[in-house]
Amino acid sequence: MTRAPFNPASAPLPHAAPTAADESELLARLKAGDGGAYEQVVREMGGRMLAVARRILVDENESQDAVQDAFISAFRNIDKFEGNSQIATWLHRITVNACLMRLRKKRRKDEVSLEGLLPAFGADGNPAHQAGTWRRAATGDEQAETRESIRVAIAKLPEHYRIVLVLRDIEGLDTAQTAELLETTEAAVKIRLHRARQALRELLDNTFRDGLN
Amino acid sequence: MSAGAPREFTDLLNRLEAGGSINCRDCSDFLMAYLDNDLGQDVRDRFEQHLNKCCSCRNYVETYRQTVKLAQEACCPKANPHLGKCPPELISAILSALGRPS
Ligand SMILES: [Zn+2]
Repeated sequence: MTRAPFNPASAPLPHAAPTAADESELLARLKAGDGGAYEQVVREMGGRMLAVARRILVDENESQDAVQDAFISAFRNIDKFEGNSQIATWLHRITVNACLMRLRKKRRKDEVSLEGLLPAFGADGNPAHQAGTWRRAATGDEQAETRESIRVAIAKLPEHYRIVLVLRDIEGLDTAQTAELLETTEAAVKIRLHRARQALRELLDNTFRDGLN
Repeated sequence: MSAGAPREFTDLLNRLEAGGSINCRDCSDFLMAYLDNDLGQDVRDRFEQHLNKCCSCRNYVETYRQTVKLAQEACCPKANPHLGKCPPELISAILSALGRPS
């Protein structure tokens, strides 16, 4: 176990948590092939799963297709679900998997450079630019706009880095799970995550940098 | 070495052992390890000594943490309910693929 004083991602699916009784009743209906139960799950969770897919795939059509794959696969394999996690958590994993399968099928983009998005240093180890402070995010409409611009910035990260940031920091997977899904090592996941965060920080720096600095 | 290639932690340890000190580049390269408490006490202390005297690195650490927090807030379904909307056409498509036209 790694100690993690800074572990941002722990609850990927904040949700009006259904009671255990609701969950097991719903699961029993799903296992019995109750069409109404399928429909309920699709209506209640489709939007959240689509949001997950959009973060990973960015492309809207691909995202919708991945969500459809995920629901079909989930219901087809409902007998294998043992009920040791919430239905939402289980669906979330299947959705992430469906997205990653689509990414693997796509011809790999070679665009993995973070050129210009990583901090630069001289031979003496001093930074090319001094880092400043950031102003506090505003409230209300401006906050909604700000959040949108942050989502756009995340989508701008090269796929190679974006995926790790999304899986670790947003979807709440741990390093080992992320490494397994991406078929790489935990050390590689850590390096990519750090680079992705640095690049996103650079992209956000223009928006948030305090004018007084 | 390409731009942004990760440096090995042992490189840093060797330099520190040879009497070197933590510089701004080290702070940037090993920041996540620092935040994850992966540095070991001795290097951690030296890292913090650098932070105490370097305003730019303190700002960098703080804005890096803010970056992660802002990304989470921007994607949190509770804070952004519109992100959780599913187009009715997709719901219909899924239900009909399941043999349940809505
Ligand atoms: Zn410094």
